[in-house]
Amino acid sequence: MSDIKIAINVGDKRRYVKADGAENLLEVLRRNGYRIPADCGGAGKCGKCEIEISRGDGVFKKVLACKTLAEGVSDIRLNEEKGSGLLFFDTISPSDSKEKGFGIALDIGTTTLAFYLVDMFTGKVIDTLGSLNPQRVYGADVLSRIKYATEGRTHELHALIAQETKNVVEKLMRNNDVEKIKRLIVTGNSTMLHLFADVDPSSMGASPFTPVFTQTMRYNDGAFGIFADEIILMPSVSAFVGSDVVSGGVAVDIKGGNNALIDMGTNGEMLLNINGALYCTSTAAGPALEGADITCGMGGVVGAIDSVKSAGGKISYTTIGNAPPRGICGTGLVDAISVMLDTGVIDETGAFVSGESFYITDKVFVSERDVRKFQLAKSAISAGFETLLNSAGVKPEQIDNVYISGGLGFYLNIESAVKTGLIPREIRDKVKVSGNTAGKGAVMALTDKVMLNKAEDLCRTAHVVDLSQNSFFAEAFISNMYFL
Amino acid sequence: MADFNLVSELLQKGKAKDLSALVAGMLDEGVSANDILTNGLVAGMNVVGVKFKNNEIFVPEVLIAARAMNAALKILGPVLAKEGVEPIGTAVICTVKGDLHDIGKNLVKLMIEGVGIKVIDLGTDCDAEKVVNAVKEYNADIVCLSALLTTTMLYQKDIIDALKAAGVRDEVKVMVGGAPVTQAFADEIGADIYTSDAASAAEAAKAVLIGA
Repeated sequence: MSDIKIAINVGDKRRYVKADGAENLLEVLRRNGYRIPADCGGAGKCGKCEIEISRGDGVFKKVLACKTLAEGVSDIRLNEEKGSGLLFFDTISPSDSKEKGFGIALDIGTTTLAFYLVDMFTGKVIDTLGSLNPQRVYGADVLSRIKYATEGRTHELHALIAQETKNVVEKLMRNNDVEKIKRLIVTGNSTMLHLFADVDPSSMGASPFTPVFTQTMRYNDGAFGIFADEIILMPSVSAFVGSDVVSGGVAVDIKGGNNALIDMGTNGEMLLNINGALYCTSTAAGPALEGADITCGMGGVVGAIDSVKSAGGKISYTTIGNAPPRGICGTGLVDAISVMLDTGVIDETGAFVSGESFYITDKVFVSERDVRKFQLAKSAISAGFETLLNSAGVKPEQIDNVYISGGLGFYLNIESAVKTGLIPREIRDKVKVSGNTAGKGAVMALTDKVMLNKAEDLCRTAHVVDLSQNSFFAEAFISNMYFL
Repeated sequence: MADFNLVSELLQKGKAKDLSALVAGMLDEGVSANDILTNGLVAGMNVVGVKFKNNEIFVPEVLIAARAMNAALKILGPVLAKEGVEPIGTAVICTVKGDLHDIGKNLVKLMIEGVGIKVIDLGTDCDAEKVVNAVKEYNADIVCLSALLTTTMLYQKDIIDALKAAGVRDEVKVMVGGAPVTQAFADEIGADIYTSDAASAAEAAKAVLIGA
């Protein structure tokens, strides 16, 4: 097969790459460093890798990169997008160490990376940077990453995250005139941490879902090519209750009362402390709450509709960065569905009363299919939480605080969350929206060694509630499906 | 006159309690369990299946209808057994090794039972040996394999290979399904039947048995 030359056009920039005619365009683009999203991992199902191509005639048409071979293609046209990340919380952490120097806390999300540069003496976060997880070109969810790893490609995935970390760390140092990073503390779900550590996560891809490591991991000077004296990976409980949740538990001081923490994302991870006993679980919500697998969905980046309101029959919305709306992210979706219920666009079963879609702008809408995806997600979260309470033998009234974290966490409108059944009505007044608690916990652990001990203590004492064979959960999952 | 339409309607709406009460009442009145199953429940699930295929309803409604069907079957089951209705064939069903997802598998099971096939449910996380043994023990006509994970779907092939090695591959039709499974994948691993939803799976299973 002959080499083909393809022009890649981004804006007014043009670059030529070589391809083999039998390769699909997704492979070609990835090989050349383009980060084309493919939530389904290139199965031709999600439609996110849509690009425009021309076959030498100057006429561009839309195709799925993963399903189009390079043969005969002369031009590719791309819209490049960059993530701005979700990096918001109070930026002071307790600093007992009085250690001089700078550290970085990194929260590796499946989609987004959040970096926090911390002055370790004051405990203050002096700069933050967000970027997209470069592994996402290998699928949006954890499982598609594991799938690639099972094909012997762990190191490839590791190299992507290590390189990105190195780049951002150096950028933070440059931007802030920092010469040396004493410590890099990393948190994230168990698969992300395995890949960061270049450890094959395959064993977490199928039952019994056993991680290779859960303990705190320490690496010295220059490990993974990253410029830091010491790298510490925070401890985790299991394949599904990762160090990000543990870190969140430390950040909200979960042990300080009868507290719960719900991290809302593709997996709803939860911790519950009742009279000193710690219960945890993880429920598979699917990517809807992160804006993936939703027709006009997108991550929480610039241009995403993040809130929707209705007043006097008029729909209003806001977007991240006040940019022109390009799509809708998780919080926007929760709001939109709440508005659709309030205005009678959909009924309590989730069916459209009239029409087939709910338009927020001319181009951004919520379809019936999106509503159904949301129903599955919210039901998984609320049923998971109910099951956790049931397993611990407590009623919602007995809980002091419910912290909601995760990418969705910071902007979530509690009224909308209650209205749509994402969180139970009984806990409404106990909810504290807490943003990225995983990142916050990692920042705290940077400057205060006690925090790392606390994290290890949480892991040691946690009872894991397995939902997969739980009949209470199965029943609650169906019961919570509608908007009642 | 027994109101099978009402049975079907309550099923479609997923009103499990009302449906159970209605079915129990009909049995008391002497309506045949098989008629309730065929003309009421299966008819209702068929409507659900068609609507699902046409994107008129979605997974949440299907699950809620399925729960109602399960509730009704709990009442009907013992009576059906007494009436001595002969199944049209036997199917073995499971979610494959490494995979604990059973929502799809349970839906297919329900629909297949609905068309009059006896179903042996091997549950989730099921290895090849268990499937082979069940095929032999129950003299199964159909093997239904579900996998929801891209990491476990390949095990469907392992089971097909094990059926071959045990010399029973040609005695059964193998159906595969699950979110990541496609027709192309089914062909690649040498499965006989792939369908994208539970209602079509039941139709395909019935066609195999009646054709055979």
